[in-house]
Amino acid sequence: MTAREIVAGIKNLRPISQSGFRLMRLLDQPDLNNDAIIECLKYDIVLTAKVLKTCNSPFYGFRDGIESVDQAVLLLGHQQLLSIVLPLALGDTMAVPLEAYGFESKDLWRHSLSTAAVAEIIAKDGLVPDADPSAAFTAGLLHDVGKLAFAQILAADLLAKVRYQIAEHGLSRIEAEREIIGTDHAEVGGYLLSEWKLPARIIEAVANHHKPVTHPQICLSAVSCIANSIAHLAGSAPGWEAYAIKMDPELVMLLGLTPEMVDNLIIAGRESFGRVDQLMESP
Amino acid sequence: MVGVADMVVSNDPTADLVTYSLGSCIGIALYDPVKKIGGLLHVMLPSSSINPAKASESPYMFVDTGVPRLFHAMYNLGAERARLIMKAAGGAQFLDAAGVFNIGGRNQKALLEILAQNSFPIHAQSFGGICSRTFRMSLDTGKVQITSPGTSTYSL
Repeated sequence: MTAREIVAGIKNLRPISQSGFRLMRLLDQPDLNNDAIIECLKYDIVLTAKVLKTCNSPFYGFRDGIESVDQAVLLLGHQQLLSIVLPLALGDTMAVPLEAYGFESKDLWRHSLSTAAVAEIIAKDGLVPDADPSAAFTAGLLHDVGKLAFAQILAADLLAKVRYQIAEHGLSRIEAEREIIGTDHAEVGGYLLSEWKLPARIIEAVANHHKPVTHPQICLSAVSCIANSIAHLAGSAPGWEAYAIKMDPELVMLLGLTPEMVDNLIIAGRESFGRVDQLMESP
Repeated sequence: MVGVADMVVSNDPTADLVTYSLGSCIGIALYDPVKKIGGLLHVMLPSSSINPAKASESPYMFVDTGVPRLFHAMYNLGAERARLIMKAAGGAQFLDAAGVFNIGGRNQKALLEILAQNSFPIHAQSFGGICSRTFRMSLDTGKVQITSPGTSTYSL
């Protein structure tokens, strides 16, 4: 099957609100500002209520209380506000169990949030040149959305065959998916996001998160690739054969990654899990 | 229950010590069968030298700072070195095991090195692979059970 056929067959993904889509498309704007986010949120009462409830949780420590989106974006800045809003906009769609992957209730969602948090750290640290933290966070949230599509469309025995190829023949998940299905969860995820008309760099980062693009320049997929691996190593490795991953040695070389850098990223990833827990508990 | 970068020792023979989601992390258990004292350590990284500040705040995160503390905590409860049995599991690896991302392999190597330096043997072990593990030790028997998602349970 092709990625197009898989995506065309999707019927039952829980819907993402229009304001959620608009917020993700905003990441295309080079001069993203507070006003654009306020404009997006002000017509979505449900999302606004969730955002305010989250901003007023003890985790953010605003003693006086935040009463409006205007106030929230002023106090938090648009980058941090987006990293609160987008999980709230996507949680209903992604916090579902995927039996075919051995993912219990919210495993996929926890791994997605963890990857997003690590991706934001990597972008802020400047490890990957010119990576935008909000785009990196968003791509991290969405990187495994193709697995949602697979779990819906593909018969259980097909996914069992993928698992067999991984366990018995030492293939990576991507290699096994391509061999058995004809496409892989990264490509399908990228195709789905292009149907959703998300920004090109988010699509790139999701579609290539297991095969990052490094020529002619290093793209955002480098961030989602490393963030996914670090999230797994820092302890969000749910499901069967969670480590059936191959890392691109060229990427490691290009970024000059050392064992010490990787270990410290794992520590930073682990430290971000408090924020992940907080987002998991959000309304 | 033992969290990531955490350790529990106990002399309650009715208890089980459990740690979940050992991916590249390693679960290291010590057991004194005479006194039915057991300890379980869940380390995440091989060496504290990469981040001394983190190591002083969270010594159980690293093999080199966690393992000596596990032994000392066991001695403090009355365990004796000559009777201690060690079982360890974890250290799952990505498929390109040679790379800088091979934390599992580096954790395993660090553990075996520190044990070799102190002439202490591992009684039973289960390292590597691509699956996460749950590690459960009975303090009544010292028996360890390892479970991975979607596979059968086995004993160490």
